[in-house]
Amino acid sequence: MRVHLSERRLAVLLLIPAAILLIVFYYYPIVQTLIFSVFDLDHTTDWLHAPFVGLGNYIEVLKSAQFWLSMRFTLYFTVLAVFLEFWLGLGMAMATFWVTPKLRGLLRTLIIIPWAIPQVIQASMWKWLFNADMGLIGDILVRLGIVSKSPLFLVDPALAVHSVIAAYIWKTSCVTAIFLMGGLAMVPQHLIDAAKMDGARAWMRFWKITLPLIKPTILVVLLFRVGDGLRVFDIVYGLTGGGPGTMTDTLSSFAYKFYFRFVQFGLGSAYAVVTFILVFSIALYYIRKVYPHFTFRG
Amino acid sequence: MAEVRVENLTKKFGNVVALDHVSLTFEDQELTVLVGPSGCGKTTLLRIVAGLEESTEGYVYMGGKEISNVQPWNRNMAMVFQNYALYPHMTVFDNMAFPLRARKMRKEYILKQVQQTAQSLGVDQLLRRKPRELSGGQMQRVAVGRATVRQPEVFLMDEPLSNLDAKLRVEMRAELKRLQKDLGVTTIYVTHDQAEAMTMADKLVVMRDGKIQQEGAPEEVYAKPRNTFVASFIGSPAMNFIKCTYNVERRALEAPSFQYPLPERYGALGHSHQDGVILGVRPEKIRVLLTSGERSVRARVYVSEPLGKENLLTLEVAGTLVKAITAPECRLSIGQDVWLDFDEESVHLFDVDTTEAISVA
Amino acid sequence: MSKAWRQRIHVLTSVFLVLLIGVFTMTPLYWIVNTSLKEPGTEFRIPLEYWPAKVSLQAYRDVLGPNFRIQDAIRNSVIVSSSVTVAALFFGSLAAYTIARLRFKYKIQSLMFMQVAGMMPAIITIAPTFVLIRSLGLLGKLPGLILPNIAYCIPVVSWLMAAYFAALPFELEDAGKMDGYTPFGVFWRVIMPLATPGLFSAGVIAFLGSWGEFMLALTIGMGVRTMQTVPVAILGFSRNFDLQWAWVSAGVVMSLAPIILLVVVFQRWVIRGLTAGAIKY
Repeated sequence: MRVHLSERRLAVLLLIPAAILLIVFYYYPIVQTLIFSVFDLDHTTDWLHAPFVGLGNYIEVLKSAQFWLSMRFTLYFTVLAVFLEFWLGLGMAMATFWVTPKLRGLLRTLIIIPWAIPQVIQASMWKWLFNADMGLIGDILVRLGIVSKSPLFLVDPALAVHSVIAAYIWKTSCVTAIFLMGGLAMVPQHLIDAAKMDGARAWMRFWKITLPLIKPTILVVLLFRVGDGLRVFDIVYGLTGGGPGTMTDTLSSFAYKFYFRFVQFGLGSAYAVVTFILVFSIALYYIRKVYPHFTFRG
Repeated sequence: MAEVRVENLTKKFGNVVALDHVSLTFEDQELTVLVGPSGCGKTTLLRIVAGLEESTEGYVYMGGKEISNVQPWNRNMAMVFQNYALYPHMTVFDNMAFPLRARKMRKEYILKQVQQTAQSLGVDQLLRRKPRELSGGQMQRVAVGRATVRQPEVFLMDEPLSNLDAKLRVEMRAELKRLQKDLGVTTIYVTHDQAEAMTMADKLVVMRDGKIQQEGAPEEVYAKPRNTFVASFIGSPAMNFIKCTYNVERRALEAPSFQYPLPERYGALGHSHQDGVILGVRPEKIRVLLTSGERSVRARVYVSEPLGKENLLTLEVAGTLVKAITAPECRLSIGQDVWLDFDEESVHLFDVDTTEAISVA
Repeated sequence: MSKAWRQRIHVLTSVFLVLLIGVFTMTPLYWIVNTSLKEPGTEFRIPLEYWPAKVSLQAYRDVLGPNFRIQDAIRNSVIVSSSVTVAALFFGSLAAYTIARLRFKYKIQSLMFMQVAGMMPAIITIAPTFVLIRSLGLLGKLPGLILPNIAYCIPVVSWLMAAYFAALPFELEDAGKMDGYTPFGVFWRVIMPLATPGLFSAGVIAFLGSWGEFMLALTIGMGVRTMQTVPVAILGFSRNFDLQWAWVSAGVVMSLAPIILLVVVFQRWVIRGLTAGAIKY
């Protein structure tokens, strides 16, 4: 009995520091933001002495055209980005398994490098690449004869949205590739051998054996990518600042403006909460779908 | 005609030589067993025949045609893997239907074939189940079913019974052998278990370090091993070896407190074998006597292990330990002095340097 | 088709794929390096120079000079990321061990507690965290950035380490206990040494994560130049010196060099770590 007790006590002890950190910097702020959102906090965070507005902020949010624009953009962004980065990532992941062993290490290193670059720095890079006068992308397009003059990637309303997405997926397709590499590595080689002996050619092996077996991985990857897409902030802030106008404002970047540009803590919190609800439902779905599969000792 | 032949097959993994210029013919409709310790190259050879590995040198032929460059899915061979390699996300039916679907057979044909094969293997009640719901024996049958469902020209089996428990293994051995005879398909079977090899093989091929040590019918390999490795690997308990010197004048093999006259059929060994000869005799060919006989040798009991149907005795003789098999009623105590009588026809002699069998005169 | 031909085609297509993916991943970096080697002011030469007519390190000198002092930002980032990594590895491993190995009733809930936190958008926590840091008087000081980042890294670290611990044979604890270690002793002396590869992977990921963390660094470091981390500093560059891209590029190159080096050296650990997330299934 003594052994068990000290093990359980140890367990609690080991968890406490991490739990405290998470509560202080995650759960408490979430609750606090929720609180902020029902007060009118103009240039102040002192909600104890501020007027209570109940759902007033939320109503204002839902009535705001800008909000719906940023919501629309966020959703469009997420769907398109996840779609593109998934297929690009899958292609790259499969390439790492396909190429000759000597090149494999090199390929993985190439794929991993964009992942290591912080999103904001990546934004700065792409800002220069997309530069209308001297950007590389524009220059290449002109040289290839596709356009006569370098397009205004970040200013032209029609292009800005997709430029942001392009810059984003440059990095995230590599992230996806790495995750999918892990999933592909889990497909036991002897199943592939068996399929070869059973007469299956490469295409059939991919569709009937490999793909079904990495479905769990794909699900997890997609959930995380969607979650990331919905909460994207860095690349938007760094690349366009939300512009032109607020066309490339995502929910997060738009909310941030309310916090620190307009200094409206109540309204900003309402925006943040809406974002939170979206992302949280993804997290909930993840928990419902994926968690039942976990088994641990004890 | 589905005879398979490999010629001069060599496989190197970096500096490691897995197969060393192996040439071998797998006769049509025969069950050939490749047996040997881990790392001897038997699985590598099988995989090269399957097309799953490429040889560094050498060729593979099937039915007279060279297939060295043919992809595995075009070779019309079927393989049963050690861990069954059943597709976990498919039902038993889909697993068995997979090879037929790969060949784009018609649905009705597939249905009929799978049903038939499943029935003959006794798994027709399991067709809707997934592999994780099956026992080891059932999975193995499904794996065999998947291999037989499309009537291939060659069966390849990579230690298919190793994952089963001992009792099931013995049952399945007989079933597999029967199946092979019924279907009459050329089969290459890999195992590290010598008993399995002996019972199943039409032809036995003993391998070690990438080379063939001996090939032949099981009885022949058992009775006439070509070197000490084959002699000790085949047969359980293993053959006993006693290192002796050869006394030319007395025509006898000598070791510490041990003297054994040279068996007649060896004629006279010249001085070339004076340094040493290894005497090999199987435990089942030793008789344990309480009194001395004509050619008997003194020994002392070291330990006695009753096995129920027989007793396995370990005895001290000629400065080494030797095993013998006696009837279960024979009760001997540790330290007891006894006499050993070797069946002269079954005494083998090996050269101490080359470990090869010394040929009879 | 003969074997030799098939091999040749395989090699050719492999090289082609690597080139293709290489162009995709490396072109932006190449362009930045290219720009950084141009003399400041000459970036606008038309036609665009794909390689500077005259390679110059002037931009680098400027960026290190008194006007920009990128090394301050790099130093800040190194301090922050190192501290965060060490702390997150420590606390995260403790928590992970509990969840993966100890007999404990609320394992799933604990894991969920940590994972869900990691999935939250930064925007929902930023305001109160800002207020908290301000009230602690840590605004404009590095610990104000370090503490929250430790919390931000814990979900990933504990997830990874839990996967790692769970993969070790169960008998290790039993053997440790038979050898006379207390449960903590078993953890510290038996399990942790074996989990070193996992620590490497988690460490690299934590380091990079905190290096690239932006929203908090922006909010807390706003205006206080000496406390800015690299991402914030670079953003400041690109905002202020919109036309002097040689400087920005030099700054980017300098800030990326350490982490790219880190990643290339630890490439195997990183991949193993990231894919462990997918593997824990």
